[in-house]
Amino acid sequence: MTNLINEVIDNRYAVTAVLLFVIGLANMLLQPNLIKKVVAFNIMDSATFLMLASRGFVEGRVAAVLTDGGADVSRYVNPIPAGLVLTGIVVSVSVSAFSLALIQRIYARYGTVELGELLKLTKKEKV
Amino acid sequence: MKKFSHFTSWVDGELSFPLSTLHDARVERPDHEPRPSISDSRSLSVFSKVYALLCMLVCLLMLCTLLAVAAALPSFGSEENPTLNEVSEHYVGQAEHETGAENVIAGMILNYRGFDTFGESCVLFLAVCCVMQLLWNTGAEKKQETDFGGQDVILSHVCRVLVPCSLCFGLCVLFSGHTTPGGGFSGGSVLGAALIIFALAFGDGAVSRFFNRRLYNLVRITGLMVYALMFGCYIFLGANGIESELSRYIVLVVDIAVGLVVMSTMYGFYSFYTKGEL
Repeated sequence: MTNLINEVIDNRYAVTAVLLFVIGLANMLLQPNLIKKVVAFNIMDSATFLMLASRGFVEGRVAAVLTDGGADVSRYVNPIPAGLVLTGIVVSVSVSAFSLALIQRIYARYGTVELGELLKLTKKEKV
Repeated sequence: MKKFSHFTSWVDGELSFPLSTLHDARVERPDHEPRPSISDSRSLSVFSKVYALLCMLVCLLMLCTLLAVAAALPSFGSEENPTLNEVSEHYVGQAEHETGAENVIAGMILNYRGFDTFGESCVLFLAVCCVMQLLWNTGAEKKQETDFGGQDVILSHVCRVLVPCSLCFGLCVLFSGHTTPGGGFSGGSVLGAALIIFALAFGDGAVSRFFNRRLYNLVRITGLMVYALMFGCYIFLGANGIESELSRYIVLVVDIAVGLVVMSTMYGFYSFYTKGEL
């Protein structure tokens, strides 16, 4: 048992990221409101960023902006995850904006953003 | 040139195809009819129950798998982490010499991985194009609600101080991105935020007086073109082979191009969501 607890404490950021990711996933699948689905999608994104950023960290080192210490490799954390997170944030912003625009169009046409009502309305429209 | 006119008008947000299919036609719903709910239809309610059960199952499976993986990862913050390999060592050790950027991350994303960042800028560009297509001229009635037009005294007085400060800060972050934390993405966001505050305080007309649609499209496309041209030249002239000044300045130039794209994207999103036009 103590072994398990030690493992969780060792990887506290990874465990938090997993919990956030699953919260986001469950909300995305189960929420009937389209806006809340977008929010859940953003929570999933944040979990991924937390995971990536925590992978790059090394105890006792500073961010990879060279200061008077010079290019001493053992003084700075890993810069690659930071770049990857930057890419991820840009894509997440773009996807959120696009899906919110789609939702706005859906609302303008049907007057609702609830998935259940939308399904009924579209079914009625087809007939 | 005629062949590309459709494409250019699409990029500019001028729709040349009929919009009748997109126009809002709110589905007729008489007032006396109650709003349909999920429980009205039997099949739909059965489906939603099965769906909810399946979703929970998937989430639980996902949780167990990911937790098992997380427990097996090398511990947080250790130096034996396998991601800390020769690639990152090369970036940290050689970035200043090879790219001229003291900010290793800026040097990495704008020089070593410049094409990746070019792809990101294209994603932002396309996102604005798509939002433009979806929301063009849909906000005629929203315009009244959000346009204070300089009526709000507190907002306009605060903004007289706040907008110049945030513009200066944004430019500072943008231009010193290669030596300090910051760069194109963060600087561009701050500049976009300054524009948004300005538009909120002094009305939409105040911004469109100097930042109209023509200039907006020009800025957006110029940013992307400058990036493509400068980085393309840099790569095809031999990248790290040149020990010249070009290698030193490429990060700064590309950073500014990215900043322009990000700024116009931020302001574009705001503008299209609130009033459906620029």
